[in-house]
Amino acid sequence: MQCVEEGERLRLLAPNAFVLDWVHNNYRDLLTRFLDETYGADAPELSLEIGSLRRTEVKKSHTGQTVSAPLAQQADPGRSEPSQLANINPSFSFETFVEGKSNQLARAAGMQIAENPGSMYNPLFVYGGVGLGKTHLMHAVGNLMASKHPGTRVLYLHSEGFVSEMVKALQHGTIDTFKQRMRSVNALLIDDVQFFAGKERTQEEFFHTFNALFDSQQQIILTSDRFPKEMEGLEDRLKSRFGWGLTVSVDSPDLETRVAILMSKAQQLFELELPPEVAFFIGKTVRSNIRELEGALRRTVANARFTGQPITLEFAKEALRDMIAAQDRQISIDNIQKTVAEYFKIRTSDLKSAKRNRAVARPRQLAMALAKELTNHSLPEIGEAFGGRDHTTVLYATRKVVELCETDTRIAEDYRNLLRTLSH
Amino acid sequence: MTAQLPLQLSPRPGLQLDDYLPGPNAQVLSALKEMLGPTGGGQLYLSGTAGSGKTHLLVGLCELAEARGLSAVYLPMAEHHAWQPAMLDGLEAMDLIAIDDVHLLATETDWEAALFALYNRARDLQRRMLFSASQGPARLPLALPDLRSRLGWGSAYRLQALSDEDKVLLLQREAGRRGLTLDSGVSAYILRHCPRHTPALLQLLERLDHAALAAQRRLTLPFVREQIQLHEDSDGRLATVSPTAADKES
Repeated sequence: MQCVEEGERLRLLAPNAFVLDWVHNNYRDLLTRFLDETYGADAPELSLEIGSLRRTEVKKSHTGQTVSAPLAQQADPGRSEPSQLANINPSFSFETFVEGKSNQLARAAGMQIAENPGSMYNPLFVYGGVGLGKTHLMHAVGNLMASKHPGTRVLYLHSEGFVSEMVKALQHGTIDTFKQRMRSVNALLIDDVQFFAGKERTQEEFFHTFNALFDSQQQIILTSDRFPKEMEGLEDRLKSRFGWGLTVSVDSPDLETRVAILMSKAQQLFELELPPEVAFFIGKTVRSNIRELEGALRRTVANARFTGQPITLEFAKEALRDMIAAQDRQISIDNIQKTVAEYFKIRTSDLKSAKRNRAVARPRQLAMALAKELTNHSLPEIGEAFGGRDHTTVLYATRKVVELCETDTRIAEDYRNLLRTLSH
Repeated sequence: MTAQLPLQLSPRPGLQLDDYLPGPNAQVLSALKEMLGPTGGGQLYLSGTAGSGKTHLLVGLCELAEARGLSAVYLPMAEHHAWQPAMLDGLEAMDLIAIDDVHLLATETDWEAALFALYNRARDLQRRMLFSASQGPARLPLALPDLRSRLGWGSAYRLQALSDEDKVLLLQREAGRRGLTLDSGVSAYILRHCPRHTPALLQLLERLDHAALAAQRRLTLPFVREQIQLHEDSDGRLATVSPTAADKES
């Protein structure tokens, strides 16, 4: 919550009705008592309201231009005035959209639509898995359309945004304004329409919006994670309309495209020439989607900047170790014993036995040292897990391993190998 | 002598970034501070086991943001059962949104949808977003793959455990904050004989603080050893700890 002092009044601003009620029900008395006890007769009157401080924040826009944006207005879509390009990200252009086999049809369709909106493929329905560039493509069409046809009014909304704007309009009795806003554009871009599923009132409203725009030959672009007919919870009349124009898929990018995307993003986000071998390594390692590819790139660049090192192949491997490895796995003493036993080709029970010959004693010491390094168990607990040994034996083992790693390269290598196996 | 009854008042755990002992997580700390810098922004995702310091970092960054005149909201999802998803409405008005323990929303479709919608609104407004969870984004068992992929959009860091040396430092610093002196021999004893999970160590220190106050004793090795043994006995476990040559060495 934010707080504003206004003379004899203390205004607490809650971001939403839920927080307002919560604070009112749980803390109002406490706050009032605190104010009374602290300020006595001068205690300010407490008022709880929904809202946020209207501060002007100077931010860099996507294009690098400095813009001023009133925060509270931005946060409330109902209050913002529609611009020629509402909610369109200027950095999502065709120049930054990397073409590959997986998306070339969608890209070509998008470019044609930008040239001739409302006439050729209406609606354009783009479907495919998460993080494959559907949103980027939508914005790129909007940007190109605006540059080719000055004065075009393009509105981009995520489907959730459409729903929440409509709900707010219904609550505030401004549904006609909402309808007017949706139906007065030259291009309406709605992302992730699968989220309309099960929302009957939204579907009803969107159906009429669709018809109004389609009849007046305004462009509609929709994206979804699946083919229209496969969308459950969506009215048949909408599914059929979604298929009236062109339906294209975007698939997972192949390796070459992933590499090209990485190099392009490195340039675009960090003005950096990413060495091709590094791009190939990251591209081979992160295959799921473009967002995770970008996440991996960001992580690598952050590591390089933090350590002041150049981004080489070895550096990238090290930087992404966390991401590649199954770091989330909890390492247990059992797991350590099993791994060490397999590595030295002995039985797990040998590690817990009383045997003291070197073929067993050395692996046991290594396993104890690893247990101390990789788990949070106490030394007595570790000793207990190795056949009820005393904690001083564990202490001796860990010291011995440190000493051996400095003097015996083979043992140092065994320790490193085991550490890597267990950590990955 | 009658034991003194200590009041149940503990110093508030330091949840300022400056109080965070980074150990192997120095880069995470630097990345967090960078988020508030002039070229900062974007999103960051922290994963780590319970007690790895995620909450400290999230709250600490919110505190720092507010100290710099930015608005910030911290939401611990461990408490989400007491709330409704509508709690997330309008939070995109904040300059920094920190959501702790995102994994606790897994398969709660209403909450996942609300967080997804908040993410999209906040990203459109270029807000700073900080998430934490027990697992990395790719492994979160979320029902909404769209949300999972978005959480993995920025840099993701796995918080690494402190080394034993750092844990000694932490214990001594926390002891100092409580007005106690914990010499290195006693710290080393604790590290050798007790579970070395950071929250467990801090809880132990709190217990020792109370016991020392009640008994009007300093944290000497015999006193700490006795307390640890008492605690193990009261837990119904075998008291495996006994003074040994190694202890005497230290």
